[in-house]
Amino acid sequence: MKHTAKICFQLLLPLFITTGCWNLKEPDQLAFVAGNGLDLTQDGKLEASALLVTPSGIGGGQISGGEKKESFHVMNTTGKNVSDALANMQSMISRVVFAGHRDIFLVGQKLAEKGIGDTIDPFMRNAQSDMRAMIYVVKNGRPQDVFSSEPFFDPFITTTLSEEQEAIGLKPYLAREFVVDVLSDATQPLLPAVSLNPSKQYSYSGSAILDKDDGVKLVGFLDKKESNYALWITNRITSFTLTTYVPEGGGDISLTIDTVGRRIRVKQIDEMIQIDVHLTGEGAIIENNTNLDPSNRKDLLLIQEKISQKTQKSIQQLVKKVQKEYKMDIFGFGESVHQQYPLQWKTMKHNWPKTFPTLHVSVKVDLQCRDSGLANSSLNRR
Amino acid sequence: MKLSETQLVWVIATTEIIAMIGLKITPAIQIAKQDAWLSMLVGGIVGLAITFLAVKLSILHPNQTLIQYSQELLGKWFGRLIVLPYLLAWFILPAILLRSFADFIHLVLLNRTPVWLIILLFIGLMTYLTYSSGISGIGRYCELVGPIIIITLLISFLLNLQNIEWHHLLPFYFDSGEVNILKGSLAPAFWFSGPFVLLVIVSFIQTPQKVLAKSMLGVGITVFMVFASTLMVLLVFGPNLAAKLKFSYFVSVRTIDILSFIQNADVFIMFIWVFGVIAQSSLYIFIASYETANCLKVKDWRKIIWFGIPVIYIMAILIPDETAITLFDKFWTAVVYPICGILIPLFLLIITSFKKKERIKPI
Amino acid sequence: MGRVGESDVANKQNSNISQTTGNVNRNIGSSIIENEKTFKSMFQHSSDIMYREITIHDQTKLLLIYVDGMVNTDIIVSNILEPLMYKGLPQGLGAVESVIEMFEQERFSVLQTKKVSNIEEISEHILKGNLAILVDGEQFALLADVKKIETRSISDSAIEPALRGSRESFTENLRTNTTMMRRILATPKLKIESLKIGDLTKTDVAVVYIEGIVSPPVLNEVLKRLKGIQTNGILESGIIEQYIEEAQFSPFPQILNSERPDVVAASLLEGRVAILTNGTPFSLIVPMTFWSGLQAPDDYHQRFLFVAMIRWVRYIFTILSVFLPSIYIALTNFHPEMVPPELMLNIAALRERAPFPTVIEVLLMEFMFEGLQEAGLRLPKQIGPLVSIVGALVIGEAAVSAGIISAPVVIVVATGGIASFIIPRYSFSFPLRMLRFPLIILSGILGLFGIAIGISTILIHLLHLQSFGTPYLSPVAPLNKRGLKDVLLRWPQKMVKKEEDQI
Repeated sequence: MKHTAKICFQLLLPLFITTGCWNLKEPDQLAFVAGNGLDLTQDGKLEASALLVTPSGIGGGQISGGEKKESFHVMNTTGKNVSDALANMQSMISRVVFAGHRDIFLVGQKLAEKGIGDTIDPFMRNAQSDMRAMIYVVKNGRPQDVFSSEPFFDPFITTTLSEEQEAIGLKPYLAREFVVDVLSDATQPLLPAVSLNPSKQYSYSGSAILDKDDGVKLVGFLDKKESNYALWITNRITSFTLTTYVPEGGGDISLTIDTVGRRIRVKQIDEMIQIDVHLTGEGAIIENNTNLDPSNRKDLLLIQEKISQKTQKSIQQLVKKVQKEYKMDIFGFGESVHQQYPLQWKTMKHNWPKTFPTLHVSVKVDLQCRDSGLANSSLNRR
Repeated sequence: MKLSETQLVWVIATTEIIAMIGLKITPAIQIAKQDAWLSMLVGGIVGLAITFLAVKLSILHPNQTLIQYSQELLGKWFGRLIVLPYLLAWFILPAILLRSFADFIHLVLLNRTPVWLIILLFIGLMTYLTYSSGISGIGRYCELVGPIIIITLLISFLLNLQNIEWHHLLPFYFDSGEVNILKGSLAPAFWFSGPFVLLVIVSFIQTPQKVLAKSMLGVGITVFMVFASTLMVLLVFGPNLAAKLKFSYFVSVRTIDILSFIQNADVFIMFIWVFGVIAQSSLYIFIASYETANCLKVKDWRKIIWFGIPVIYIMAILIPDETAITLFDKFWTAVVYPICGILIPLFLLIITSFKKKERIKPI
Repeated sequence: MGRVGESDVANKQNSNISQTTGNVNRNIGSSIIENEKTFKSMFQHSSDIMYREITIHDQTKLLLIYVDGMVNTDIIVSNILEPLMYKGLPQGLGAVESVIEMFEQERFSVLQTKKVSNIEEISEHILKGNLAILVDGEQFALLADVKKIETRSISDSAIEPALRGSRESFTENLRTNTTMMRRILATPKLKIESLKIGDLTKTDVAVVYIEGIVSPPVLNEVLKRLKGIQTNGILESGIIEQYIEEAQFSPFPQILNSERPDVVAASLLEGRVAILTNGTPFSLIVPMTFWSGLQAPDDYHQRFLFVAMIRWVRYIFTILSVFLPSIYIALTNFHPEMVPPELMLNIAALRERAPFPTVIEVLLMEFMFEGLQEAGLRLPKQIGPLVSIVGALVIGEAAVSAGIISAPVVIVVATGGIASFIIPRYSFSFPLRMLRFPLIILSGILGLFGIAIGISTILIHLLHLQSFGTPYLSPVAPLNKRGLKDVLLRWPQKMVKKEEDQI
């Protein structure tokens, strides 16, 4: 019996020695891809770009001689589809493309306008792909321009972009959530957008609305404020700042909301669907330029009421705008109907894109000023 | 060779949990969508019932394995004949199992390593385990490895909590309806209690006092873990995406990202999968060899291993691709299991109670 | 000095021992001249065997034979020679049958005497420090126990230092050792059975156990295996260990060894059997489980919480010491997606300049480390620190700055090495050090999957390894709940029931 074990091992041992290690890839045989981009060239071909990291340019360990290599490199190739383009890219690089640490996907505006439905499949199918990358639409720009830019803090842009959302107060929008949205029944994807900001850096600049029933095409953009509201309704935001002019106080007041909540209720009133959106938020006053005193209960209530009303109006306007102009259900109302009225949903499902613009949506906003910081009335002498 | 009752629990749990979590979640989700977890529970109940049947039958024939008591009940030739489909199953299953798993490893981890080498390594370990200590070795192995598997799975659930969205489970029931829920529960139900292994291994338990309770416990643990995994998969991905992913649990573990430090932890799941597969295939080949030896009246069942191993290996290599395996699965659910798992044991049970009555009569 | 019986000395006569001692069954005759010739020829060329002829009252001739250096000359002179020479024989023999008997009963004030007639036995006793007295006309020789042998005094153990506990350790003298055992376990239930093993060395071996606690099958097995040893000589208990252990090809030891009497006593109280060997302070304790190899003797002398935590630190470090190098290879070469991105980029940057592949680097460093360990083991005190400085400088600093070895590899190997020092028993650190290498190779070929295969193999091996009937991994497998609590957490003494046997 010991014999058996010995025989088993002796059988297997020569295999190891003679055949060698197949999957062994030293780290210096890998080309680390930090981000991938997809776009259309001038003549309509699919173009893939990648941000490749050169580790020796980053540091770590003693590097003799003062040559500072660039820490990254951007590459572009074209192809018939995503995999074709990426294969072409591999053929131009001396090392094996390694996408395990890929942080960012960028979709160029041109391609988004054509529709990115065809490019989604390799996300999930490729066994080497990862689940934690974030996805952005590049507004008025191309992915390779974004990749080539040099950000403030980090060696390359993908780190900035991937950490930015959380820093701003949004829940990071991951590529796999995008796929879930595309596969869902009614919700239209709302992707974060990135573009050049006034200080010549690429950063988050709102969101892009995509129509998934039409090849996942770009339909329009929302600016940052509108995106905040939209994300509030879809519960993808964690904190943001509101500034409102309070006429009774003769000035403006700013609130930073750190606890948000939302409730979507569906009501069916004679065949018509009515959506009640109830948004809540709790925050602290960070700037007070009114003559109201938040430590005074009456004033506080007034402030809360005014801010809530103003915000409510803005959000109501946004919903209307999305309904009329873009006609895309980015808010997830369809899903709410699905969850709350599943039987009716079965019949409504197919017509939802047509029903959505005609929905009655009522928005109610309730904001609470939990505290007013270290001061009470305004420090602005009036 | 003896098996203790605790080891029985772990043998059942270890050999079934991993196989089911790895491969059987997606089919259920495809049928029952977001109520797949309900399917699992329903299937679990059915599985428990089948277990009950099998164990009751085995208890009535203490210390006798399937072949032995079927021969006793039905005579030499018919008894052996009726056991033939079981033997075939016990030889074919390890081949399929090894091939599926080796394909998976090849796909995800080692895409340049030849598949036959991966299978060969498994075969080597299986032989080592089964040959050196038979069922008691397998029992001890499962006793050690089972809790590790469960703990790893639980930890993976915990770490994934930040990725879940409860609304993926809604709406409850209406989308699928009871038909689909039941349809989805069929395949899992037939796997929960293992491919008739209980008909054989119960005989190795020395003091069968709580065998029934312990086997139910083993199946119960399996059901619970599979149910929890299905739930997790649904919560993380939602029914639409999960239905499209072949290895849904595995991919769901990939989403774990704690502080950017613990990432892509799916490789650790692969670890426990390796343990589970070794336990499972060793068990099957042990049962196959043992029963074949009994059938052919060969004294030393170990010799059959030397015959069985190459057969399994060649079968595993010859399987063309996974669609063949899917076909076999359908065949299994539709034909094999109802016959071997339900009808034949029921039949034997009825005959046993007749014989018992006969014995009681002349007093 | 290799294995007993094997050497490469040229023209060594592999003499058949039993032939030259055809005296095995011969007894001495009555003629003292004959006997003298026999013994002188047997002990030819040995200048330390002393002969003393005495004639008493011009009548009886006596011959005393002893080994110079092994006997207590004072006792011989005052208790044996003086009575003989001055008092002499009484008038008439009286009730006793022989002179020997008379001497034995009346004359010699020595504690132990023995009457032997077998030549082989007599020579053996002489060589063990007894005085042989041959009387002309008698067929028996009288052996008097007058041993006085120089041995090391009781000191503390160099290898098993005690943080809290007795500092005494065994010496090379079997009698001293058994005395120490008796001092600790003052009960008549402590049984010490003695055996002689080894044809040329005739080493005294004592099998010690506590009757009533010990498990009889284990005891019988021990005795059976000891009695079955056929060899020329037993120089150390390690040789006995190799003869009686079950799985020689397993990297894991199945017999525990210890220098400390309190460890032995604790094991005896658990129902184990101890084997003490003359000539070495290291005793053998059977049966052994995997977990006892990881326990320090002082574990039970300290408080519960502290020991529970330390025990877990030990387990984790043990795992680290075996798996760290292979996991490093597997992660960086096969699964870089598992490593946090910044760390991976750092490592990748460092690897750009390294000339060797990771596997080769790790193997090289491990090899150097093992060499360093071996070198440091037997050095005289003056050179010891020098070796560690040289090692650190050469391997650590210079190799890394020169770019020959990358820094992470040095860190990994050093950590693994340090982790292996945490194992309290030296003989148990060996399998872990050894297993590192196949795991490194496996991980170099198949990544984490290879490690999984390696772990499974080790596991399966451990599962069916047995030490004198006890499964090697109990109480974890087969499961024994009470024992499990102790292994995992070293359950507080008060809560352990009195009648606990861990076998």
